[in-house]
Amino acid sequence: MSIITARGVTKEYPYEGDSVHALRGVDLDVAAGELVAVVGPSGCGKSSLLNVLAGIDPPTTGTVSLLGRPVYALGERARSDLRLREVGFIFQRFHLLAVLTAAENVELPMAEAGVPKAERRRRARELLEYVGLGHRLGHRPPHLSGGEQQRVAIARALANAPRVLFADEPTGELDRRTGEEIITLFRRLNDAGTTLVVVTHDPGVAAHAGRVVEMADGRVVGQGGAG
Amino acid sequence: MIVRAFLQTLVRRRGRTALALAGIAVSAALLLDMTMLASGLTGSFGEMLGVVGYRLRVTPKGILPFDSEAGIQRGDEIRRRIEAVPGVRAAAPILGAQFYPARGDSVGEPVFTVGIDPRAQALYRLLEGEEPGPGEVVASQALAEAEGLRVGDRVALAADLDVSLGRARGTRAYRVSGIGDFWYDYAGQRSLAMRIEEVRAATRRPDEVSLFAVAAAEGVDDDALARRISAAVPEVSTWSTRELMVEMDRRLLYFRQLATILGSVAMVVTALLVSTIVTIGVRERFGEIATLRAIGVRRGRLLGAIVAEGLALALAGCLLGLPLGLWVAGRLDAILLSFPSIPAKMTFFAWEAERVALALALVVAVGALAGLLPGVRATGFPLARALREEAE
Amino acid sequence: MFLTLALAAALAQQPAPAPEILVERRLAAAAALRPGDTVRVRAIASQAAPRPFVVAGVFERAADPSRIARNEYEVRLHLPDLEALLPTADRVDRFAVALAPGARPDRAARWIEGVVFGTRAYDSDALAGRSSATFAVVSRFHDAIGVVTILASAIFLLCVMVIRVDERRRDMAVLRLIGIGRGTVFRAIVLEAVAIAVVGSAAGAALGIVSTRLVNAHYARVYDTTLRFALVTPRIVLLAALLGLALGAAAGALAAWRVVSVPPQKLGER
Repeated sequence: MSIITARGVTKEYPYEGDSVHALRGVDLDVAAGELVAVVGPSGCGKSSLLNVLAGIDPPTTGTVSLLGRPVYALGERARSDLRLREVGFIFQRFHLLAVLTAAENVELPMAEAGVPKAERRRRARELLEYVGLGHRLGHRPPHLSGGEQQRVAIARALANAPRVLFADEPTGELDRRTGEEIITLFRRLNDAGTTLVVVTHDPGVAAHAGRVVEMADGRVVGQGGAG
Repeated sequence: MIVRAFLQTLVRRRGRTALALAGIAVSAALLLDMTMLASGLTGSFGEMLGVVGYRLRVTPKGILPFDSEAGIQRGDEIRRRIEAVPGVRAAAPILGAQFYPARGDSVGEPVFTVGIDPRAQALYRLLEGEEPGPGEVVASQALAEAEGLRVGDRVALAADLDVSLGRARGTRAYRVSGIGDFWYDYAGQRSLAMRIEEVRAATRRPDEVSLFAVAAAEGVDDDALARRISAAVPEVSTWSTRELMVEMDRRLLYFRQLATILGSVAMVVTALLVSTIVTIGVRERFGEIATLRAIGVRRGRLLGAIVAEGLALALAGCLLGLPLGLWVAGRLDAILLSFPSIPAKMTFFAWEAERVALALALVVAVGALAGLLPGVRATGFPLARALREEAE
Repeated sequence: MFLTLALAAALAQQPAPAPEILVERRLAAAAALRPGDTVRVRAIASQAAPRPFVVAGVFERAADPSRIARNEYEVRLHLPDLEALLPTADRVDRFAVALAPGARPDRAARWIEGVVFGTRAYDSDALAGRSSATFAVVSRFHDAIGVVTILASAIFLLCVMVIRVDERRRDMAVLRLIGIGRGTVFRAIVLEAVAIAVVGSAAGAALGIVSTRLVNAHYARVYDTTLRFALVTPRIVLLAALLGLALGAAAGALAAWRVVSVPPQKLGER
């Protein structure tokens, strides 16, 4: 059963009196427990598609259903709640809060969801140990390497035990070895039942995906198992 | 946690937060001073008018107390008529004159002298000695110091000068019965009080009074009593404290308007400063704000955190500005009190807790609102575009 | 002869013409008086009945700052007519004394005091100083307020410059890392601050001129006076501009020093 469904999705951005067609009628289904990699050349609409699927950017036309709910028929608050409790998002450039420690960054979504302090501290510690950073709880992002920051970002994305994870170029800022560590982490999560949709340039990431969706010029031009 | 994260940014950026706080503190201090100035002199004057319970003044028709040399004739009859008005507790007559300390054939600097009824007087508080009897005077502290007078001393005073013969006229010796703190004297003013009949006799103004100070019975409204006195004694002018304060307000219009203008400028500076700090802070954290929205933090919460940042700056600035404002008010008061002929007991800058609290609350509110606009813009920015721009 | 005596007797019985009085413009407007009108005047200090005077003309009172707060109406009479109204005859408040060329005012003043017992004589300059005491106080008050506002402006300017430079720390870091010297970065920031100060000073001067006109127009209406309450002179503009430039340069220098004193690799940190 599809956990994510997109039908006839288009996305246009106005630009100097004209429009940039980022997506041109995309249909996509993602089943529960899948690890889907979205690949394609720069500017083909991969990140735009991810933002639309995650409820961040409304499509110009078309519908998106996430966990059985029509995402863009929901109000802004309901969409925020959906992103907070059911969805995790991992960004290419980590986007951690520099004033907070690693543990506090992970606690942030839990605090927003109303989790009591003791409980969220415990869970933050567990998540950081899960991603291999149990020894860096009190460190702030400027004092962490790129790979460590991305792992903190993954731990944060997992804070409220989401059913779906979206990741936009998660290894884009990392060296090869660190990238492989991140991929391994994704495999563990997927094996544990988390659905992942990953936008990537990295063939290594695509190679571990259960399904690869190929995009070009705003369209899905191919889908298949990993090579 | 979100609010704490935003406030922690202020702590991290210590240098510029300190500068912003300094700027807000100076603006808050200026606003505080202008608030105190706007009502200070009038309020202080009003308090002084009623300091011993004599809250009304009766003067020659059409003039304010001691505004001219005119006097009220048939003073004793006028006094009886005033005291017969229901609600009047007492009417204290005052007759102003100028006496000269006589030293042989020469005279000293003139001394402002008031003739009073010692049983009902509203001009001074005895510090030592007793009220003047016949042939006695109460000297102000400044006069006592200048002339070396003590209770029991004798002092020769002349009420007039004979210009042709070049000497004092009508010189008489008086005994100093007391030293008084004269309410309405300016700093260093040399003043004397003696019985009104003695001033009348010395200045050849029988039955004249310069003005009356009138005390109302308990529970009687001043304005209503003033109207009753005006109706009963139409040949004089009657002023309640409120009316005198209105007149004082009119004469001090310039200071009140200056206070309003400068106070407004202070508010604008505060708003600009807080708005600038918050706007730039928000711009720096554009990506963070977009990220927080992307991971599910509601717009309202983020907006609240941004407003809280402005609020915290304004609040801290006010707390610093309060002692600074009080100190500056003291310095400005000292400057303005050097105006010639301003009673030393008055103050231009009066502390009225409600008005001060309102002024500071306005600064805090302006600080919060100044963060609102940049906050609304930042949290309303299209999320995907914000994430994209941050990534670039 | 009989006719002359009769005419003299008839003339003697006619009432003397009413003396003349000048009224100031504001009083004439308030009481709808015109030259030729008869007014009845008495002194408040006197209990005598009012006397008739004929309005001989309307004058514009000289703008006198020492009278602006009370702003009473003014009338002018011949001295004997004024003396006749007052309860005390043959009295004046003061004399203005013109000295012969070469006479020393201080000597003349002492001589007058010696000759006319109980008087005080003052050099006009000294008297002007004494009677200006009120305005000296107002001037000091304005100076004090000026100091406070300059302080607030200086802090504000410094704050804005520090924040602006802080915003571009990464750009500064890149410039330093690619070899641009500290001095160049320092000078660039100071120049930017000076440019802001120049533009700000020019805008401030324009705002000051406009505000001055508004203030003078407002108080001219409130007090019905030709007095000018605010003046913008070239000296004031120059002083304000120099102060703005100095503050701007100082703010820029301080902000620049904060940046160039930090190693470039640390500048990029958040």
